Amino acid sequence: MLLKLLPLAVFAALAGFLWKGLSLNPGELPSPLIDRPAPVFSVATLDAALAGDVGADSGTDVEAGAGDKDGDGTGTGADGGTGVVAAFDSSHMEGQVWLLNVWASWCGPCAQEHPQLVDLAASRDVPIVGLNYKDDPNDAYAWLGRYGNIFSDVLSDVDGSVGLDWGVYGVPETFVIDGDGRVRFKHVGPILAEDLENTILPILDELSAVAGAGA
Amino acid sequence: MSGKVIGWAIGCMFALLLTMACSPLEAAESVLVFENPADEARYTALLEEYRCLKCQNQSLAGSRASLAQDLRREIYDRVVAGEPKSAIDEYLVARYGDFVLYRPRFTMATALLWIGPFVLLGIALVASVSIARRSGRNAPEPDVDALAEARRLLDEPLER
Repeated sequence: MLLKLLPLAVFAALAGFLWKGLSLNPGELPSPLIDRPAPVFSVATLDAALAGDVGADSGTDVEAGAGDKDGDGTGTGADGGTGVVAAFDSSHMEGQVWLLNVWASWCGPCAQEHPQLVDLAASRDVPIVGLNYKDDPNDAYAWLGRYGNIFSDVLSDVDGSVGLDWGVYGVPETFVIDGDGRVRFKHVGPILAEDLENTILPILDELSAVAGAGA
Repeated sequence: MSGKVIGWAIGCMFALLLTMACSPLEAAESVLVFENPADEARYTALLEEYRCLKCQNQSLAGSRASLAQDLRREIYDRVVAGEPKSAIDEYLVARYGDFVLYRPRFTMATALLWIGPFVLLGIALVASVSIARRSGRNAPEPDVDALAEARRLLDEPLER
């Protein structure tokens, strides 16, 4: 009797897998970085890239301001003078929950997700670091001027080497990093309103609660 | 002027045109130079082993995606530095997961992928053997009377 039901059971299992497969997006790959320490990097800010002194002086005076949250000033004064933060060191983000958003001016879906990032920046006190991936700094600057700069820091990854270490394969991509410096979540493709509501905000709130309790 | 010379000149012009037509494509990626042919062979073979994440049904060798170009460059540097394949695998898997390998490694996560077909084959064999045995065992006992009648009919001499 049991043996007679076996073909039915095999069929049901196969049908189950195929049904699940219908709703999966083959373009979305699980990141091996999840729950692992985030790759540490140091990269030129967009301001520095605009001023043309990429990685010229990443001395100690630079590091002081790099982890600061008031990086909103990065949209102005690109004259390579004293006010410009030349490099960003991701190790300074340790101890706080933050987001890494990989974007480019040549990337259409990046403009599509931007309103959601604006909402996120307005509703939560979580720094969003923007990694400008394989882009011309001037185009990136113009893009920020057009859509608004909500990033706490804007970094210029012209050759895509930081993106390579983070396993970026499609822009936009967004990583959530917790207070211990671990990647907790990765979103590939534009963040839609429902992604923000149903996935990203709950994760951020949960992580912030943990970070708050630990502090 | 002989026809041979004119033919040669036309041939040259065609060759020149072809070169001009091809050069913009070639210029997209700098040509890699290998000091020894073994490295080059290893590099070429390795590219077929890895999947381009951007265009998932192409290997790194065949893809023109910019990500594939970056990864080719990275693999070139590692091949020239003499890194073994296992180290290059490790580098790529750490960033993109097992999916980047066309021949996935045998790990806990991929065990089902590797041994699953053999498990299914085993189940099929056991099932078919047991079904065959059962049908042999359940066959109806031969009817002794009918057999005797059949034998008698066969042994009966033909009348015509």
